[in-house]
Amino acid sequence: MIEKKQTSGDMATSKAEIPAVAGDKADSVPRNIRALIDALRQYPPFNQMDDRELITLLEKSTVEYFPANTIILSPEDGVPSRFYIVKKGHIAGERLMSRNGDVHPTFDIGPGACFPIAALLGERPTRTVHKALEDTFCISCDKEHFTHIVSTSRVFRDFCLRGISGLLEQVNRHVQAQAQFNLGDEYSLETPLQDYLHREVISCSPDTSVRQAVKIMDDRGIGSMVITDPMMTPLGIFTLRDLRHLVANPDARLDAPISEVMNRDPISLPSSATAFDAALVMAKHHFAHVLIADDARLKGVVSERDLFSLQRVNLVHVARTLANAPSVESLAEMQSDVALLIQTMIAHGASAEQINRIVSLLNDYTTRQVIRLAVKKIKHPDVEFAWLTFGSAGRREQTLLTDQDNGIIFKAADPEEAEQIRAGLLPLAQQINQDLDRCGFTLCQGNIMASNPKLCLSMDEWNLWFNQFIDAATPQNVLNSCIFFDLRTQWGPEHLAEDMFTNVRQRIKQNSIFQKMLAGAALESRPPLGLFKGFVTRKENGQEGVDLKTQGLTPFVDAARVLCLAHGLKPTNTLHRLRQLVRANVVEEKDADAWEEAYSFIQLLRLRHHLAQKSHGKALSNLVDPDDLNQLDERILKEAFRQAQRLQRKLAWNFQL
Amino acid sequence: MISYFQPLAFQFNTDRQSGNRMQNITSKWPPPEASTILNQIRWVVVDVETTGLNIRKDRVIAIGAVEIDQMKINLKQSFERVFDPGVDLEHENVLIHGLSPQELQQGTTPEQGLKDFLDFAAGSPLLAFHAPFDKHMLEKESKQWLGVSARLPCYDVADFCLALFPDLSKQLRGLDAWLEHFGLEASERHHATCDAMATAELALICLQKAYSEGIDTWGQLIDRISTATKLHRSRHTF
Repeated sequence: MIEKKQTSGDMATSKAEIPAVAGDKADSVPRNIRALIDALRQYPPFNQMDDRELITLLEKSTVEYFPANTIILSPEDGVPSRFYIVKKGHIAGERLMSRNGDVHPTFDIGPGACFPIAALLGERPTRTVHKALEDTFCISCDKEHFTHIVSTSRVFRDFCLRGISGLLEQVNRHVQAQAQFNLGDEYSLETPLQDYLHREVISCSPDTSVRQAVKIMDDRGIGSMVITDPMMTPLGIFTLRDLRHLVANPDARLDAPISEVMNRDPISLPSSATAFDAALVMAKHHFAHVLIADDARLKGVVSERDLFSLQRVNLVHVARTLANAPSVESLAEMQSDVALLIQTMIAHGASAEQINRIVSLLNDYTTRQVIRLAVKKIKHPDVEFAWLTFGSAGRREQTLLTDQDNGIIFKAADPEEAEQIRAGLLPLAQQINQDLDRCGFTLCQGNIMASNPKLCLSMDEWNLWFNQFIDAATPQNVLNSCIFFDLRTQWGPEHLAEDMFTNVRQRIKQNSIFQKMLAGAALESRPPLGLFKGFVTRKENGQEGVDLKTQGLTPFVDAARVLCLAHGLKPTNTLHRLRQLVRANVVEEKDADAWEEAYSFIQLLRLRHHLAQKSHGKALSNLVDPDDLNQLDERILKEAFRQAQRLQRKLAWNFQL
Repeated sequence: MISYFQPLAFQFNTDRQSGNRMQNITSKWPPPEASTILNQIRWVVVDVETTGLNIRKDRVIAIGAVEIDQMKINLKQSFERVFDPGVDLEHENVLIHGLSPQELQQGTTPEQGLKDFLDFAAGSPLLAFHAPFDKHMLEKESKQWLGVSARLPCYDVADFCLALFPDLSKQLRGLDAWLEHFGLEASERHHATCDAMATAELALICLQKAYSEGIDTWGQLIDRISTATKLHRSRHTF
């Protein structure tokens, strides 16, 4: 042994020398620490951490004892200052429900379990009271040391960020903690519908009379009645709204069987679906009630009020109001509700992807209603046409900062007819562009708008446009035109664009030169990482920072687009594209997961950034100063950029660039 | 065998002729003041392994110690030394202390090991299970190797148990019984550092129990202990 010849004086050397004796290190660890390491090794993530990492963890740790019933952590303590690993004993999590003051047990953890990871990472108080169920020993360290381990041990970091509940959710909680200030409602959008099944299931048979059914509803104080067969398979639903219509009808017979007036084939979700799923269904179909059924057996009903009991504005309500708005003015006024809603959604645990979907959904409602109103008001040729949207709207990746990228596609028999129809549609397009601008979708500076005659085209003209572009592309115009390949029909018949673009997709799939050019363009926006450790910042409008959109998101968006187009794959949403690429065996699942995570993180950071800017009354921008980020966000952002670099390397390799 | 966790005491211990300083440390090693708040005491929980149970003849071959500071076991302050006794030992004891002749040969000299320990403990009150034995062995070896007549303030965790868990102590005898009762396990029984660790955990349970019974200061705890031990002795005498 090397150590033997050393004197104790020599032992007081700096840690820097330790790697030199790494081989002997395991032996030179005191036996009690060795024993703790062995004990920890029985549990993830410690079973994947090497000796050095575990020694580092334990080196600045302590062992603490908590007699049964000691409260170890509680929300009132503020941001927790220590990290704990259960060594022996059990710890229960208890959450006080604000609605009725009940204490809900949330978890029961034993040896090997770690807490409170989310609160430490989110730098917010824990939501749960952590109480020793029995006499318990914990290994603990302070927050700084925990952060140090998170940053130095990849395994531990992955465990903390992903292993438990996903990186996004962790960071999300941070966002929520900021947004949840006044909300106090314990339910989040991730709450499974299961949790809403606290009432007795009330249903009736199809031959029950309307009067009887309404009497039951009245007696039980419920707003809806589900009609089922004897096997409890839902056949229909009857709500108070239906009753209103019924009573307004002078011919209505209250003694008729309810099956005559019920809504048939009601939409149902499994009890494992989330509150978010239910809200989306309600928003999409303008229902106030969604059935919960497992294996076609009715389990209960969840209502809009159940989901949003405490909120002034909610998704279903906003979606309905947008879809029925009587004027552009009222649509414009509604947009502040949309912003408030997004904030609320974040507070209730929505992820970046969910927010993207909600914003896209609501923007679609606004756009469609704008178009519907304009179509009524403005004279236009009676032809089949559809409203297209490009770029982030086309990918359903919108956030609060949105400008217009749109076009029109219509059917025409020949070029002359196309010219005529165009002339007739352009005033309408002009009006729609203006109205959208009034609703907060700013006019596109590059004039990528339907009112631009070059973007109001017949199917043939679009086809020709794309084909010429593909054949005669230069690196520069490819760079500027990528967003056209992310197109989606926002209003009108979808088959027009679908038929047209199928040809285009086929053509790109066969044109390797164009693919190579697209790939080259995708490599233009480089993630802002320096050769060494730091970020490479840029200056925009006198501010310095990294651009989360062009430097962070664009590399992922562009790469996913090229890879999908090259393989003839249809999706336009970046996350859908990545998933589709896995299915098509173009990328490996674990790579796709990492990219998805990195992309989602940047998107969420951007969203958070926008919300903060909005609440300070600042103009929205994508520029973030890394110095303003907390340590953890900064590190994850670096890692996310590194993933972008990896994706770009793959792209370069695939297309031999 | 040398600790990777370099005890802070190491930092000061660079001069090798610190016999005088040793004298100072041991002579200025008073027990805690009666008014000291219990949870502010730095305890050093120690366990010594010896060549046998004969306190006159046998020798210390390993010292393990851990620190309790502010009611937490501080892992960085884990102390572990194996001594090379320099003479052949009777082999049967290997079965108890688990140290092979090779391990012993790789150990430090008793002189250096003891000096390191006294520096590590640095005036803090010591705790051990069946402390009189450990205390005696440490004092005897200090005298022999360092020439210092130490009077170590070493307290018995067994007494803590007796005072704070009087009912249990009617049935539980010895460290193993107490550990088993509380579901603690010494990872390697009769390895000095592991025993010290287990003893420290037991001590934490006792200190928390004291705290929950309103015992805040060392003086109060000492009172409780002396009452309990007197009672215990009287019961066992008559």
